[in-house]
Amino acid sequence: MRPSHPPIDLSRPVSCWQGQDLLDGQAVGSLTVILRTRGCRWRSCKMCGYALEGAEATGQDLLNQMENALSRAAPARMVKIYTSGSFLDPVEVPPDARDRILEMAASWGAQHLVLESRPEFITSESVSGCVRILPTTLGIGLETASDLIRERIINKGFSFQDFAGASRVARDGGATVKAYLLMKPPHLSEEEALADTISSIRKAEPHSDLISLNLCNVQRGTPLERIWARGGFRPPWLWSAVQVLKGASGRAVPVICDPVGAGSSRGPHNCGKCDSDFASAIRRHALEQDGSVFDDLNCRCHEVWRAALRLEQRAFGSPLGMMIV
Amino acid sequence: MRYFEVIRRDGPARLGRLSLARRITTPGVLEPDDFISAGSVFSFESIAEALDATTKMASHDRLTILPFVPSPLHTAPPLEVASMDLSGPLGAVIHPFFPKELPRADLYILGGLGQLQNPRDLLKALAGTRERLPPDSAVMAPALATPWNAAMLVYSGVDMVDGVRMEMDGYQGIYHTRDGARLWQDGLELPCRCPSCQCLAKSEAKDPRPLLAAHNILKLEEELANLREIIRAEMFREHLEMQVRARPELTAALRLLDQEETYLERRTPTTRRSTLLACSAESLQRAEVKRFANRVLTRYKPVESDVLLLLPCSARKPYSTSRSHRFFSEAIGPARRFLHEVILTSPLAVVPRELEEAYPAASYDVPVTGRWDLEERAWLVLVLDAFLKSGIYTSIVAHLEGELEETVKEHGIDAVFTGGGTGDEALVALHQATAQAVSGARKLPDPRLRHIRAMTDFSFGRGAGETLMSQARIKGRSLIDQDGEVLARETLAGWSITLNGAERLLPLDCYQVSIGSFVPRGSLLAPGVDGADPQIRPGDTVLIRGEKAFGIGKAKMSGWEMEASHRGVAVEIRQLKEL
Repeated sequence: MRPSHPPIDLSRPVSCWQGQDLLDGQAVGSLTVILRTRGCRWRSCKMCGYALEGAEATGQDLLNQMENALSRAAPARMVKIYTSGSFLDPVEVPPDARDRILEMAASWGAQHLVLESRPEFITSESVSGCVRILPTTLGIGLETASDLIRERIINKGFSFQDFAGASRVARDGGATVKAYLLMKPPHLSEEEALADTISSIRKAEPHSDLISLNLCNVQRGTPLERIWARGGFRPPWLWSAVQVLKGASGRAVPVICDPVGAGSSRGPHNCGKCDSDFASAIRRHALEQDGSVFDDLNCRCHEVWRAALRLEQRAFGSPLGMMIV
Repeated sequence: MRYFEVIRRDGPARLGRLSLARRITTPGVLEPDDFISAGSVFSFESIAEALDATTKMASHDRLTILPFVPSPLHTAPPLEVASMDLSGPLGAVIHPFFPKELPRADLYILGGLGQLQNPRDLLKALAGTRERLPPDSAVMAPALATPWNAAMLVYSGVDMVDGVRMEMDGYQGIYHTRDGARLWQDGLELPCRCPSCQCLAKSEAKDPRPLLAAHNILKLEEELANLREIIRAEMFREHLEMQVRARPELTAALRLLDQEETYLERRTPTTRRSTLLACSAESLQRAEVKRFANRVLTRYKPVESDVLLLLPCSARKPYSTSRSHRFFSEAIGPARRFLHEVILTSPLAVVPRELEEAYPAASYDVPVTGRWDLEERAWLVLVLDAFLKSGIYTSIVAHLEGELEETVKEHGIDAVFTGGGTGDEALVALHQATAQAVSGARKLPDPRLRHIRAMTDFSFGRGAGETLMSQARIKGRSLIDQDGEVLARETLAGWSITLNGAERLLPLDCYQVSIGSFVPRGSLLAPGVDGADPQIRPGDTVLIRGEKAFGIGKAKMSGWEMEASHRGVAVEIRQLKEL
């Protein structure tokens, strides 16, 4: 979760936490820092609430935020610096500040960087600016391989070709690429969402070194929240996520997933009883990449999920399994 | 080629036929095998691919669903798909809150409808959409129908439903009956004897959910069979007034729909075979009730009489055939030819004696307790006031009792109140009051002439009676003109006009259906109609005018529907002559 904390203090990051992440097939310690920048310049995606976290922060503010985060953190091999936008956007993070921030991370002891950016800011200059300081993974929010879904439902504003091009630039410049996929944006039935995610993994694989699966959750103040509040959206079932992850096990590119908000009505969920078991198995799988973590999962709601998969195909646009008696 | 036809109507509820490999009588349940669909456009890389896939699948035996853009109910669809020119039966998904140009289709599926939660949305999405669609197309409400809401859906314009919600709810442990829904748990005493419930009752099943789903679907199918039979019996409104009691939202939906007068009025017949049962508060709001009062006030021309006698209604209809009205008539005696009789009743309010055989005055029933509630009283005095304004009576005798008398008295109507009743003393009081009132009063015309005139005005508009009857007289059971030609005849169903009579009404230019240059046989079909008076309703007597034929018949659909339909019987012909 990336909670916002009003009133806004520009000398502190939006949030920062420590955890474990997959690096070269191994779980390593990580530090995640969410910097408060002016925010994403696109800010038109229908399910994104991060754009609301922005504030007019200067380069110096960003340095102060980074300083603040590092001063409180225990050593970690991986540092993930996110901005709720594009770290490589020179308007969000001025290039001078960008260099200084990455140098701070390096001198603090980090050995690997994870940054996020929209494809239009991934240039050979911006990539080399990072890679020359530390080995870098660039996260790109592809969301889906389907241009129709990405343009019309998510309103992402770039094509699969744009993503593939940015990936080529990043890899040519020596960075690795992490593709984010969004499972089940609105307008898709559970079955269609499942099929879209599986096909997106297949299509994104050649352009990615790591695929991170985001299970669509309902963030405050977004168009998606309005749809959800009126019964027009049900977040994905954890059963569906598990099916995708099981199928992806053993493929060339690892697929990881952090089921944000799992078990709540705004987040991915099953029946309420089994959600925490499912969420922890999915988190374990992200680190171990071992499909057998899912073997013991079972619940009576399996049949309800199967019924929803089947019946939503005949519902012509209404999600099922959320009607109040 | 069109694959859907409306066969019968009972107000907005329709019985139809959807001709696929399986012939479906609507309202009915669409089964998965009844249609083929390439699905949502979002399962394709591009719209072109979706169109292609659909063309390859298209079928003549099953409904082909055009590629669609799924969208939540309140969300504009994020793109549009061009309509396709396919033959065979077609289904198109449309978005009730985002009207666009309609693709041609036999069945319109209302997308996102499973989300419906509040009564206003229900009416906007259903009745609102129905008004925009061609009347000879079917409407489908997906993922919404339950045994308890199906009646309201059908009344709001739905022809097809599915078992999707019933099956899903079953898997979620919800048990449905026509009375409502509840969470199933082991040990419940089940009100149903279907095989699934028998199995559930024995607690033998490992997993009760498929049984709940099967039971739920069965209950929905039963209710639809029930509704079809109720449409055939022309008792839909009566059933609905009971059925909406299952949930406050359904009752609210009916009350809101009753306020949208045009949707119902445009579809409400002017005659029905069945008795209008006014058992609930909603009965007072029925289109028939408002229409009757409206016609009494605007079409009916009160008899020129000096004396008005107000009488209570009777259980037996028409009132004249009842015991109490026979007593009244005997008590009044010869004074009857000098006074105008008007019956006060709920929910019709004011029924002049001449109109007692009109629908629904001749066939309605209400729970009689002697109590008049505030709404009934308000409606009665509203109509009575308006009625009294149109007649010039020098004196009024009110033979009313109890709360009815009290209502009229308290409203300040200046009348001789006899106290009402049918006892010997009461009848003597009636006799004396009327005898006194008529002294010096004008004599009224022959009651049969008054009756024909009033009924003709009631059916065709004020003045029609005078036009029909100019220089005419009664001979036996006929109304004849100066040459002895019959203008109208008395039948078991009341007076009905002949072709000669109809010709007299032609200059009024109302209730006419114009047809092309052909001679219709048996019934006039909708495609043969060139134009129809928009005020025509099912059950009306209409005049058929064409170059080659002139006739009279009974409308089977409303005038606007005749003009907009490509299938179905428009008029059942009663008499026709070739020109």
